[in-house]
Amino acid sequence: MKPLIANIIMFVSVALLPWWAVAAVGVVLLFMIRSFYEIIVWGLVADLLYGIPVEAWYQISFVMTIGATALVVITDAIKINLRIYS
Amino acid sequence: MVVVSVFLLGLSHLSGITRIFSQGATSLATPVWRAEAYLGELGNDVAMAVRSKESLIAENKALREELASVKIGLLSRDLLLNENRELKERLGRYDSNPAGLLAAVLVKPRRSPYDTLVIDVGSRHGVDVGDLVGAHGDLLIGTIERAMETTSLVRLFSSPGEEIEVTVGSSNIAALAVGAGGGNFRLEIPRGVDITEGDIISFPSISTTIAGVVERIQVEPNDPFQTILFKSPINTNELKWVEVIDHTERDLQGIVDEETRDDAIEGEDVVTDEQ
Repeated sequence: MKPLIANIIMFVSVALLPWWAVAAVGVVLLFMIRSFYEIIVWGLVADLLYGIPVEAWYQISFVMTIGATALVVITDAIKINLRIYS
Repeated sequence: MVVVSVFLLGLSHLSGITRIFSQGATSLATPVWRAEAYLGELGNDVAMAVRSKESLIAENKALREELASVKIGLLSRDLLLNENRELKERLGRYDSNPAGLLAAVLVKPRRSPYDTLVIDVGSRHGVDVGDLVGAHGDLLIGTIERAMETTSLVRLFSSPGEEIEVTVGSSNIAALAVGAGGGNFRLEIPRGVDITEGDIISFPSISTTIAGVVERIQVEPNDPFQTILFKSPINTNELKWVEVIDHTERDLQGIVDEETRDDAIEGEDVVTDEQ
């Protein structure tokens, strides 16, 4: 049930919130739910909705997917060192 | 991370599949965007209803005064516009400013880091990739990047790294402006060129099309160039309506693709300096 609600929250966030707020919501959900890798899919959805190849970023149009992946890696690394997750 | 990177690399080369997924995602998100726009309008109406009578009277008075001064400015502008049109007709050139297709803005640029808009018209309404997007009549702000069936994604000219040809100031110096995101641009011109804050930057065209207004000029002591920072006169995050202009009808030598521009240069109706 929790992952379902989390995915609905992510869908609404991607559709309505600025990208930095979506990132903040994603970080909170990553800490609340174990292995919430669906956030990478939501990053991809955001790129499919709003993304264009950007000259300044070497024509990459998947910036938010890459960002979501980085968030997963970073939060996993932090969780390993937090007592409440052991 | 490696798996994701490889997947994205593959996806970036399969533009057809990306387009299908993009259309699917847009179809799911469009009802949410429309609901957001409707609720936003409703919220504004409710907020207006609960404001105090005094604040409404004060705002009304201030707006009336501003309207009066703008009307006077518009009268002068109309006179100059008519004179400009007559002069062009005498030289055998005609303003080609076709009317655009009005579109509502569903998603503003602040939603993503890409500096893009989503508007509520698409291929069903005749919108095509490459069509120009304008606001408030004289301002061009971007081009159609993707046209889905009922919505379109607009790439703003101020998208980071985006290069556009512009002319600077009253002497119409040609320059290449680079987008810096959020309606901001930067360009470099030789130091000796006379330019001040508030000067108009426009697109090179027979028609007057504003790109922005000079905000700041940066000059380093040993640099032969000066850096001009200019900004679109409108805040794209507050746009509600835009116009989509068919790119095949628009007479723009700096914005359209090089093939179209070269065809225009080779055409017989081009006015040269000698003429």
